Amino acid sequence: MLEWFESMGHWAFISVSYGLVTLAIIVDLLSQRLGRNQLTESLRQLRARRQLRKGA
Amino acid sequence: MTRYASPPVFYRTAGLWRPWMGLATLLFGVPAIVYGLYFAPPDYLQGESYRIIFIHVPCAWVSMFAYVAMAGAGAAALIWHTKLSELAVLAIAPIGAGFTALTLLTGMLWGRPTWGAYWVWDARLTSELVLLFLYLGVIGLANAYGDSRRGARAAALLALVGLVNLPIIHYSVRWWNTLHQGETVRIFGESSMHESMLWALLAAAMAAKFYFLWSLLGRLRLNLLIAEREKGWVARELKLESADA
Repeated sequence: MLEWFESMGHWAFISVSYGLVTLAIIVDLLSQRLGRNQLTESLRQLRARRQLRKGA
Repeated sequence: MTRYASPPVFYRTAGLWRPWMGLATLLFGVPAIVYGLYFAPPDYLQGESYRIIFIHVPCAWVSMFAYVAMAGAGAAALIWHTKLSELAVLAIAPIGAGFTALTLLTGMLWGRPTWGAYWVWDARLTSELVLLFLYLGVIGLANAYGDSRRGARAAALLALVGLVNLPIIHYSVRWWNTLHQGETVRIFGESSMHESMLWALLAAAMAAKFYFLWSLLGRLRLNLLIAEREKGWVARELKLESADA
């Protein structure tokens, strides 16, 4: 596998390098979006539980 | 100045600045990458593989710049105990770790066609690897405490101690006989890189800096929301109040 990759020449190394940077940007974007969504969801659940306790 | 240390004020101000950071990243980054990949001439010695420089060097610069920013925030956290600076340490660490990992990986991919090896225990490579361990240490330490503020302060202390590694990274190519090439771009003095490649590299470096700021503002805003989740302004920002009504 590694030998095949290396036999592809310089552009294979360049493509993987730029691909890694692109992947890192996507992971960064998704992790921020996911973090915000998780927080919103957990706060929504917390508020719903509090409302229920108040009502009980 | 203290007005901006107030979490809701900072949250909104950062939200106003963030799109501009994103725009600047694109304005610098897209032309730099297009020029670097397609229009810059091949290197007389390394051929095409040198094009990795347009991402490797900006990532390396930001990996160190981010560490200085993290240590600065850490110093502020230890001196003034401000929540914002503690959160900044926690926000910078994963971004810095990402840039450092990219520096190492792209360096390995550049090293193989140039040196014939992905990795050598060279002073520059080893000190950059130590930088990654420092970032990971800061992240680990911050999460090791039950009390998040104590964790942030312990991480801030480690960030400050780790500052000693930065001059080692920077001067490693001068102090030791390394396989890694010496400085290509100099602030004072003539750069050894041809102008046809240099401008694309500087534009890519600006893009990486703006991306760091864009990501930092996003993560800092998220950390602020988490830290202040019991406060009313967070519910308003996340539009939770309308759901209760």
